[in-house]
Amino acid sequence: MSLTLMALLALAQDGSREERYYTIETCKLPEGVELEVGGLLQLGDGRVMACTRRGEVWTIAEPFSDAPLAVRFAQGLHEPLGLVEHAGWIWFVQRGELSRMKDVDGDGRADTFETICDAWPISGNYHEYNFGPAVDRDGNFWITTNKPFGDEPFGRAKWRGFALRITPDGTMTPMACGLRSPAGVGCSPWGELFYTDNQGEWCGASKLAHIEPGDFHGHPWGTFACEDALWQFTKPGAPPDGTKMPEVEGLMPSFKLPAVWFPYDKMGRSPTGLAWDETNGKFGPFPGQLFVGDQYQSSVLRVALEQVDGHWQGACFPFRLGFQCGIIRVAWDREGRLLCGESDRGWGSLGGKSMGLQRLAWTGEVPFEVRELHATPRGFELVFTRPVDANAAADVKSYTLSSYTYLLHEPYGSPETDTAPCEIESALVSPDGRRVALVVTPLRRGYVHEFTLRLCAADGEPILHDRAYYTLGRIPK
Amino acid sequence: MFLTSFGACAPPQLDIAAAPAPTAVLRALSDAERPQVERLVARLRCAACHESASERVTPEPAPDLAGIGARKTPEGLRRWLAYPQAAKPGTAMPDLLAKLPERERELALEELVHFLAAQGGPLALAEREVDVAELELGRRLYHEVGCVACHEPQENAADLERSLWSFPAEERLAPQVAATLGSTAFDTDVEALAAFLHDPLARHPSGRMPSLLLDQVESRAIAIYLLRHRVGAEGLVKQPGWRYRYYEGAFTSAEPGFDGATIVRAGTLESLDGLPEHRPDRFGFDFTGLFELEVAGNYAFWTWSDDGSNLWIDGRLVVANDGDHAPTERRGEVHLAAGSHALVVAMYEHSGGENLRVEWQPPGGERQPLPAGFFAHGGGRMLAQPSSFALDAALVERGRARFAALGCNACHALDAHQLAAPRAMPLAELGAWSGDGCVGTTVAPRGPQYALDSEQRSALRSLVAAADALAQPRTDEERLEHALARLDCRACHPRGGVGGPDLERAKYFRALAEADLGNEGRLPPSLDNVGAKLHSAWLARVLDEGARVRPYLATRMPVYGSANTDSLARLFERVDARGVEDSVTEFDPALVEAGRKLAGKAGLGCIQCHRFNGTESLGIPAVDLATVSERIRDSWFRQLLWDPKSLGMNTRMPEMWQSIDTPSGRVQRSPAREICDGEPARQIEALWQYLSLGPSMPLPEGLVVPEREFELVPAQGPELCAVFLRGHTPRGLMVGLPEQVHYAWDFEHARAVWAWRGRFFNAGGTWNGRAGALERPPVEDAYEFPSGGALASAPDIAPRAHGWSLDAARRPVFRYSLAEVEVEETLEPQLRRGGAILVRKLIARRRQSASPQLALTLRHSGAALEFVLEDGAYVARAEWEVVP
Repeated sequence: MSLTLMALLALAQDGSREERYYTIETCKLPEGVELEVGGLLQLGDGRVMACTRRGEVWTIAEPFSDAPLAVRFAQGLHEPLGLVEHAGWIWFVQRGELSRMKDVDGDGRADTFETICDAWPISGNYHEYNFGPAVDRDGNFWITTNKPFGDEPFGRAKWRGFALRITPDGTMTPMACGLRSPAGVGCSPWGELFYTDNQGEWCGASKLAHIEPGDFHGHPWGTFACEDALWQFTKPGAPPDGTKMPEVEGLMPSFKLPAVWFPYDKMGRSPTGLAWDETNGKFGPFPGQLFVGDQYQSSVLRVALEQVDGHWQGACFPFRLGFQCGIIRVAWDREGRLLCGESDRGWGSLGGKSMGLQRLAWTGEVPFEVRELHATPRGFELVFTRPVDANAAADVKSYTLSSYTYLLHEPYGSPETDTAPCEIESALVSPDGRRVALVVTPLRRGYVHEFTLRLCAADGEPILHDRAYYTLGRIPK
Repeated sequence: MFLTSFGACAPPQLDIAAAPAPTAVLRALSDAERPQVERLVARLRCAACHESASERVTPEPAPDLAGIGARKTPEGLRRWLAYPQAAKPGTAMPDLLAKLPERERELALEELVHFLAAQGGPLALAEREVDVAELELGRRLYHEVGCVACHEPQENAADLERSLWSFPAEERLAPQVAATLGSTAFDTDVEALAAFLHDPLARHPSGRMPSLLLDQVESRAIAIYLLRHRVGAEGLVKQPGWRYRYYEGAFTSAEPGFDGATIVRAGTLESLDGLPEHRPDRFGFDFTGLFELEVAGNYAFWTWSDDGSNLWIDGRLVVANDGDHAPTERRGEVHLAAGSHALVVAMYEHSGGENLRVEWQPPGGERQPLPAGFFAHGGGRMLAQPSSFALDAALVERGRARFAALGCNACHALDAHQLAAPRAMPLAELGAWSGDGCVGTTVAPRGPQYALDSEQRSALRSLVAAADALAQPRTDEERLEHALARLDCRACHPRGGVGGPDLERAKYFRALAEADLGNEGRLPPSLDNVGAKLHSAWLARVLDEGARVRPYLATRMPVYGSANTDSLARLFERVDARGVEDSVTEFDPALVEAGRKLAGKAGLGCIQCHRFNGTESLGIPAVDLATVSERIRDSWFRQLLWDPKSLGMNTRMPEMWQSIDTPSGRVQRSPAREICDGEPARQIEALWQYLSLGPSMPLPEGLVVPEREFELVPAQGPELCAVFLRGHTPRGLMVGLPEQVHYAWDFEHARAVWAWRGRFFNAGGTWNGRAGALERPPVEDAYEFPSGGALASAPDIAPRAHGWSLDAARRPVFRYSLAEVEVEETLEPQLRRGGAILVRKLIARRRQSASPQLALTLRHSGAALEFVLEDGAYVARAEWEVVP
């Protein structure tokens, strides 16, 4: 690797190389607006609505102008951590209920608040956060619930660590269990539900996982509630403590291997809100892909998913560092820019600010990146945003690849386990220089495959992010 | 006052063989003497044996001896019973053994000692560590909270400015002034004495030793100080650094000693950064450090902790950061004199993470960590006192019989003995009796022996002889004077030109803050005309509940027990306010704003001196005016405002008005011309109306309200904050209203939980760090709604929450249902004299088709909810007032 390239890569750690392609703008919050963002919503008239961890809801007109105008739309909500607009109402989840609100008298402030569903008990533990809602194609609301840490002053509460589906009339159905700290939940453009979870006990690394009915995601704390008649599926047994993740799949039929692991520190520490790029190219060369905020690293990650053998899996890539504060929520504005709502309270983050609203915009210049990473029966296929330097790309020495997994166990997080190098047997570059097919040995089912790439674009520009992590849940046949 | 004091330090020389002295001469008692003699009879409890119906001689209740064996050593009991006057000069307790033959006397003494020691004892004095911080605290408290109003000071007032360390080693524990508390006060251990000081009325129901409202820590500190002579030969040793003690247990509050928990480990720390070794959860620490200040001034302190912590300086709570919470910072400020101080920090951890950080800011300095090397600790050891005493069951039994035989149970019920009915000659008959009896100079063969001089004996006989006078009921004036004398109110308060501490004793009466209030800031107030000044209901609160308005006085107004003060407030009123007509003016909310302006900077400037609802004045800390309407009588207030000097109470309050010459003569005008046309009478009225809002007053302009992070202030409109409500529900909402009356709502049970006035709420516990504190109102005396919602249903079903809407004033209207009945409930503020109240309004609707399955009643009144048909639905309405 040339010294220049190394220097450039070093610079990339603070996002300065990324700046050329994606710029960060900061909302100058008016005096008195404490915007510890819990939920973000782009309103049709251009204003941005944000609900905060302090229970306030603000609408901000011209948020990135010199003088944004903020109006307190509501207050007194109980730590709302998500906002959606649906059927003429603003829907949000509080600690104790799914609710909706409306400005009936048209004075710019909500005056009607309706309880839709309060069917889950809460114990009064600070960590009993609820995330969402995400709205599915049938108009149901999905929320994910945190498990408590420490005392439960009002008794042990059911349905913690669950994905809950709630119909618009308030009927609640627990759909999946074993979640830990599922700080983001979203409905994909094709109608399936995904959530992000944070590393900890029974959760070897942070992850993105697909939610299907009856899934058990690994954390046993809340599964006592599966005795309840509301749980329509098999109650998961005790997880096999200390087992490698891929093996758990064989031991527990309902165990759900995540779609994508986010290796700790390499891909942030605390994934939160998620947003699929449905901007039709306004946000750059990654349409249909998923962007995820990170609350510690103050960054946005990128995820490319594919379905193999009925299982959603894929790769994650570093995308943009350098935000002022940990990101909790991401949402698209009307121009295809990514709004990032921030708060580091309670956990701390990089960036130096404790809260705020920023916006990530594509400059129009296409970075040289791995756009897609596909699993193939004998290896992987890389798809680039621009033609690659074919000489380097055809050289197997331009790639370093290893694989590892994690343990499902009680201690906080898991080390990378059973790490082994992979051999690149061949690298075949497509005639247009946009694709490379790699033949790799061994391919290990269920393992994270970590790529380090020493590649340049055909015009000599080094690759912007030289790492990628593919979680190989299934090997295509 | 000679008649009320009796006894001497040395036993009087009673010569049993001497010839009888001439019988005391009966004489007419002067008006001045008579009440004193009556009090003497009451104190000596003559009527406990000599029955009398006269209220003038009703015996005072004697000390309760239950558990006495756990409070006094056998040696102390022996010393006491052998000759009470020597053990405690001036005691009303007679010598009951004096008239027994010498041989029997010793036997009886031993029997009684065993019997009393068997009441929870015998007490043996154990070894005990003494911390110098406790000693310093006890030393300060003993001399400033009011003990020395009645008891002898232990040290010269000037010496109290110096720390114990500044004395030579041999003087640190020696009293500089001889103690005259009575030697048996010291025949006890720290815990027993502390328990007594904490609640003296439990043992001494007469109220002669009142409660100074000492908490556990303070009581223990004074006990340690009073028993300091027991610290062993090596005395007090000082060491650098902090002393810490580590405890284990499921604590819920941070306090030194953790309520007697076992010390698992103790040690020394060089500086207070980070916690010493501990288990992961459920533990507590207390840290003690002594420091010397060169500069007096206001010092700020912070603790940042997970879970709770508290910080005390010299036993005063400065930073309150208690309770289970994520890392939370709280601040406190205190004025400290130059010299020695003791800093104590306690913290506990329930579960999860744990932290403690302590910082301070000296006057003119930066906020910073507590400097290392600045703090010291020290202490000594009270030695065990070996005793050869062992309970003898036979002696205990005989002592039990002896107790009744000697007539002890005429005054003290104990063990199997009820209080005995009077069994000697009735008091009324004693006047005609020529014998000498228990007050005689010759010694009767039986009965108690009192240490009285001949003048006292003569006075007693004269009083008893005038049976008619004794039978006269007391006038109100007499009753009041009797109570004032019996409780020794004049030890601190002057009234009628008599009383208040003498010049020497007054030196011990201090102001807590550096308040430029002169003697008003350190001496208890005069009781002249107090019944005309204060509402008797307030006086009763002062006397019975410990209500106080002068936080700057170091000396504490004690509590005497409501049995001893229950009629006092009304007596003051009847004696002082006879003929005083209070003009009763209607409450007029329209004048409130004018009154508020007058109190502020653009008006008469009351804020220059007076505090308002807990907010400091711009100058001196004169009495908080939020208390005026509860305390002060209308007529007195008007007179005070019109002409402060006319009330003769030596106030520094200036006259407000200016004399102006007009064509029609000289008139008084207010300097605030724009308010109420500058007319003094109307301005006084406006101020009165404004102040009558009490704790729900909006603050005057010009006050500097300290900025508190996360403080929610409903000013322009209501403020709402969702929280976990301590003890009630995790689905709670705090609702703050600009009318300064607030409440908490429980969504889970669809009910109001608390209402309160004044400060609304600080959301730091919910909005700071990971937070999640269990919250409650910021005031101690929040009104708690009856449990259950506004409506009771039969059968009893749980309400279902449907959310809320905001009314035109943006106050919440809560919606919930009970089965088929849909309810809307609001709590609306209404300004009132004495503070804003809440009007609770409720509308219930039942669909026409739905047949009533539920019987609904209003919980506060028990009345059934009556539905009427209205626009196709059955509707019921109810409205009632809630006074927080």
